[in-house]
Amino acid sequence: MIMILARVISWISLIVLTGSAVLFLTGRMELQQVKLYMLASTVVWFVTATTCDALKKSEQ
Amino acid sequence: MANEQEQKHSHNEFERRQVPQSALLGFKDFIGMYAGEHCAGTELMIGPLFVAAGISAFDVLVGLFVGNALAVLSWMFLCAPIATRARLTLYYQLEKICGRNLVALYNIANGVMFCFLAGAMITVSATAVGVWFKFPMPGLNDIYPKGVGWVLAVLAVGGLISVVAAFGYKAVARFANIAAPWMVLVFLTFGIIGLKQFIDATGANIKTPGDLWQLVSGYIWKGGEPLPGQVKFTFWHVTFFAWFCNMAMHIGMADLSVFRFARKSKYAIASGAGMYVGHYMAWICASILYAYQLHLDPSDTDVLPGPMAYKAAGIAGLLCVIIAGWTTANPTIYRAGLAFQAIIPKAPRFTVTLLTGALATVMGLFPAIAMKLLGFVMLYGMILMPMGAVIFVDFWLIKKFGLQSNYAELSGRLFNWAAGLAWICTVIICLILVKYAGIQIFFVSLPGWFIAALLYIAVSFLYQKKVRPVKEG
Repeated sequence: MIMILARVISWISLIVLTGSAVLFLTGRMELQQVKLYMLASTVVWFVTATTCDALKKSEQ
Repeated sequence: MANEQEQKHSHNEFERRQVPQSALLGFKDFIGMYAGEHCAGTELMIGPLFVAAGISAFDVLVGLFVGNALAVLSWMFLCAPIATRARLTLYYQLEKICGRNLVALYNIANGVMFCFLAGAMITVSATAVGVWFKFPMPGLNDIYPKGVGWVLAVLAVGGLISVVAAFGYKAVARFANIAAPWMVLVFLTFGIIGLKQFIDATGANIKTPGDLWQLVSGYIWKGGEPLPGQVKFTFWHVTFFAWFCNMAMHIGMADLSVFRFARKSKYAIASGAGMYVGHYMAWICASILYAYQLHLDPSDTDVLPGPMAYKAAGIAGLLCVIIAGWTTANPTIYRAGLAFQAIIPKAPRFTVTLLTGALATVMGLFPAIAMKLLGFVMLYGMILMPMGAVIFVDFWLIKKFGLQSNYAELSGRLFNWAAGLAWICTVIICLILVKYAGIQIFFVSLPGWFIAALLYIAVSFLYQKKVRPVKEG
C-alpha cells in the first residue's frame, strides 16, 4: 500500500515538474514560481522514489 | 554503468565464460539502462558547444536525427550480432584474438580515455559549485585552471566523487537509477523554459509551425560563423558527431559486454532510448539555454552548465547539473579503475579506483577537455575504433580468407601483432590524415575503420604463416 502510494506521488511530482515548465511556456506561470515548483517536486521525487526503491529491495 | 543490470550482472559475472541462457535479459532491461546512461553531465556541454560551432536549425534537428539513427544501427548490426553469438565480454573476446599483453595496452588506452571523460564530468559538476561561491570560472577557450577558487572546487567535487566511487559505487549506481527519470525531465524543462524565454525576448508570436521554425532558425540555431576558436559545424559534422560520439561502444564493440546478456540482437534497438533521449532531446534543450545566453549578451560566450541551469530552473536545475555529472562520473571512474586493475590484478580495487579518481580530478582541473569536448569525444572513438574493426573481421570474415580467428588463443601468443599493428597503424594513419590531409577528426574514423580491417587481414596473412597455432582451430 505504502509502495503504491509512494509510486503515485512520485509520478505526480514528475508531472508537476514538467507541467510547471509547460505552464510557463503557455504564459500561465512566472519563472520564479516554476523554479519553486520544480524544487518542491524534486524533493518529493527523491523522497518517494527512494522509498519505493527501499521497499522494493526489502521485499526482494 | 549506473544501472540495475550492471548491479545484477557485474563485470565479474561470466567474465571468462559465455553468459548462460538462464542469465539472459529481456528488452526492457536495456531501455532503462540506455536512457539513463546517455542523459549525462556532458550533454550540458555538447549541446551548447554545437551552438558555439555555428550550427543551423536544420543541421541540429535533422543531423542529430540521422546521426543517432546511424549509431543505433551500428549497435544493432555491428555490435549486438557478435555479442549475442559469442556471449563474451569485450575484454575476453579481445584476449582470445589479441592476446593478454595487447589487451593490457588496450586497457591502458581505455582507462586513460575514461579518465579524461570523467574529468570533463567533474568540470561540469564544478561549474555548479561556482554558482554558490562565485569564483571565476573558465571561458570557452581556456586551457588552464582559472584561479584558486576553480581549483578548490574541482578538487572538492572530484575528490568526493572519487571517494564515493571507491567506497560505494553500487550505492551511487542505485541512486543514479532513481535520479534518471527526474533528470531526463529536468533536461526537457531546460528546453521548454529556454524556448519560452526566446519567445518573450524576441516578441515572437507562435501560432503555426512556420512561426516556430522562424524563431528557431532565426534566433536559436542561426547558423553562420562559429564563435572564435571553434570549428564550424555543418550538417555532416552534426551527423557524424552523433554517430561516432559513442563509437567506442558500438563500432568499437565495448557494448559486447552489455549485449552479451540480450536474448536477441535486435534488442540493441533499445540504444535508441539513449540516443533520442540523451543525444537528441538533451543536446537540443541544453543548446537552447546557451543560445539564449548568447542572445542576451553575445560577448558572454562561456559554456558553464551550472549557471545556465540555475538561471533556467533554479536550484532544481543546479541539482540536475551536479547529479548528472556525478552519476556518470561515478561509473566512468569505476570502469577506468577496472581497466587499470586488469593490468595489475593484485592491486586492491579500492586503491585503484581512488587513484583513478584522483587522475580524473587532475584532468578536470583543465577546462580544455570540457571546452574541447566535441573534438575529444571524436579522438576517444578514433583511438578505440580499430579494435572494433579487428573483432568484426575476426568474427565474420577472417576464416573466409583461409585464416584462423581467435589466433592468440590458438597460438598461445600474448600479443597478436596483426591486431596490434592494425590498431597502432590505423591510429597513426588517422592522425596523419587529420593533420596533413585535411580530413577533420569528426570524419576520419569512417575511413579509419576500413583501414583497420584491411590492415588486420593483410598482416594476419603474414603473421599467421609465421606463428603456427598451438592446437588445431
